[in-house]
Amino acid sequence: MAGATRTYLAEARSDARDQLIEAQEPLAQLQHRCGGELPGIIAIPELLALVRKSRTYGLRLARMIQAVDGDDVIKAWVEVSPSGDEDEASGGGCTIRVANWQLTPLPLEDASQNEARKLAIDRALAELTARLDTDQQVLSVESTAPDLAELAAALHGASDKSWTEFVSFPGLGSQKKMHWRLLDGAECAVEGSERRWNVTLVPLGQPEVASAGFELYLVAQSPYSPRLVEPDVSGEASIGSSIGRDLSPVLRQPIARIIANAETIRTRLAGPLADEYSNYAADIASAGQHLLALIDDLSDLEIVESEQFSTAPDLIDLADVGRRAAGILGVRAKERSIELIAPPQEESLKATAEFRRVLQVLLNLVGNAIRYSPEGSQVRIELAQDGDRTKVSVADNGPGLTREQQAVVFGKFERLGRSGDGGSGLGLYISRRIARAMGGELSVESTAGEGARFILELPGAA
Amino acid sequence: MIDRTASQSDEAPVEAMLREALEQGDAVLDTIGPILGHLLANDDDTLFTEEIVARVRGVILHIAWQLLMAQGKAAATEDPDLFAKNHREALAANLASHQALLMHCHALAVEWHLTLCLDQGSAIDPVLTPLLQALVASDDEATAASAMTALASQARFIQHQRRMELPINELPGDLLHQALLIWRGHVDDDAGAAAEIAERELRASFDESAGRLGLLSRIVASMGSGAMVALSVSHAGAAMFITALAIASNQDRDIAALSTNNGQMARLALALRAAGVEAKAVEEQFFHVHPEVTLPDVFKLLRSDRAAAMLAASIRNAAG
Repeated sequence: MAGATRTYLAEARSDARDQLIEAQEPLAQLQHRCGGELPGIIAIPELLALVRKSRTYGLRLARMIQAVDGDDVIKAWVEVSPSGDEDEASGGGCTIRVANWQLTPLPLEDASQNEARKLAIDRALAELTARLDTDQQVLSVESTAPDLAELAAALHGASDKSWTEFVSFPGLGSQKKMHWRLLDGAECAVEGSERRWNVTLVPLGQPEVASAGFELYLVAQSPYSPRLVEPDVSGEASIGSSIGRDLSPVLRQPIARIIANAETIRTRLAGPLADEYSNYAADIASAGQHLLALIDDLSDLEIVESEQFSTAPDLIDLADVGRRAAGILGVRAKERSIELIAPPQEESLKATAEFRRVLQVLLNLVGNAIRYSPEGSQVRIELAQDGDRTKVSVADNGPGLTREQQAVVFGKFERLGRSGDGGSGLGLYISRRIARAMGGELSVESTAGEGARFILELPGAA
Repeated sequence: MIDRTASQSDEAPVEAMLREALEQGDAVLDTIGPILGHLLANDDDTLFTEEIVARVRGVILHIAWQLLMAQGKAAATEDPDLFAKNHREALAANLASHQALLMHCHALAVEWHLTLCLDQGSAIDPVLTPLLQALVASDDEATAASAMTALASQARFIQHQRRMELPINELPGDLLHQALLIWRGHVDDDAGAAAEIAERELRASFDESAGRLGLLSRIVASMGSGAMVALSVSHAGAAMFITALAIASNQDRDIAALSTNNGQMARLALALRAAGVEAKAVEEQFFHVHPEVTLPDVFKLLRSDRAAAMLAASIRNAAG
């Protein structure tokens, strides 16, 4: 039973307080979309319940969980193992493994229910409520907002005028009398208030709509904040382009769905299928993976180029990172009959750096080495200590780099003349930025024709 | 007890005790009629046939025996089997008072009953169903491997049900946890240390993903929208059908299993519809599960989302 091979889409770890310490995609993304942070308390309700159970019971649990990320219902198969009390290093948390990830669009909500909920929210949030007669003249009015006090007083004293004469509607022009349907949902401005207000008009009376007048609610678009000195944020808010930050969540979803569905077709889970079609599906899936990787690169690019970019250094074992990188890319190396040599189990080399970032750099270097080395060759991950500096290097027997190429290989979008092989030309550029942010350096040694050696240098154990 | 006798000071303690025992006896007398009448009147009611009741009792006893075996071994008892057999009745009585655990065993017995009926009535193999065969033959290594593992665990399940047994590692994690708590409360103080060691070992060796229910639901989960094929009981067999039905209709698996019973046809029909099964295909499932029943024609008009809403509004969505 335990011998069965298990492949996992993503792994994550939580600590004794059920905070998600690290998580791979797509779990990290879902954590964010559920309003959580990384690291931060698990924000996916069913996952949190499962992790809590596993931790308190001390049992390995495996369930299907459901979550909603705003647009889709996500069903995922999750296995959670508590990491045992004795193991202090892991802090008594859990290891979370995701084996499966299915997206289905959210079912459409019932329109009338939706309407009722919106009304309930408006009623709860309204800062001015009024009862109007059939001509929209005010019968009674009540307000709790300081910036609406003037308006409330004015409305209170004017029983022969429509309420609309006391406010202005920027989007509707200045007609004298407007139909209530036009006003319902409109935006209005109130003298004395800096906030913008949304109007909700509820017609009362049966059977003829609005035969008994209206309820009027004004809901603010922003909370009341008496004049504060506003900090100058003009510079920071608009740094650079925002492909990664704004666009990547939007792009990721449809692409993830394309990949998931293509995988379903490829593995013929829904029924038998001719080989050609299964192969097309495999092409679609791999093209989708490529797109996803590109988006990752672009959003990473933005992060490492932003001025706030920093890493969270920790005491880590470079040998362990090397072995993990080899583990993750082992299958790909095997496909190309490349022997991937990781640091041996007993080796250990402590460095001060952020685990996730070092792994990211190593995955990039090893991935490149596998991609550009001839079949049947070797890729070696090696460690070295140099005074208070530590080095982890990835060496291959590929075509190597000429002196000119070495000079430009870390450049942004540098592809060394290659095209059509799935690279974005950003990997090494990003890796070097990361290395430097951790107080290290990424460099290359190579002679054309004799392979290349990329060296990640990091501060040693402090 | 102490509070009670103290508050009724004009009564001797023995009177209070007897009064309580008498009240309990009266309650039992009151229920004899309805229960016996129910058992006698519903001769086609497979929920409480002698066989199912016996199976539930057997399984609960087996769970108790396993826990006591573990305790006996941890305490280095000379004959742990004898120790377990001597004490299992008392522990089983405690376990049987836990609703969810009892219901789980009952649901498995009902599933087993359905499995047998399908085998006899529709020639659907209890283990090697067409769907599982297709999955085992899949090009995708991971799919084929997990299908093989599920097949093996289903074969074990069949064997265990025949013997009226249930390995505790096959329990859902929550129920195992509950069973362990009941056991802990049952253990004498002087045996506490051994039980503690045994409990720690049992917890450490438990892996929900390796149990039959875990494997089945993992396979169904991995099929994504293709999981619709598992909603054909003749194609997928009872076990996978129930798992797929539970997932697709958002019900506890135990409830889904019980819904295959004669008294729960409405729930089964609604669940299938809620899972998006076409009316025609629902009829086909009924043909296998309830061969003697025809669905009313108007059933075709029931919308899938309405079915889901009705199910969601039902009070029994989780076991226990």
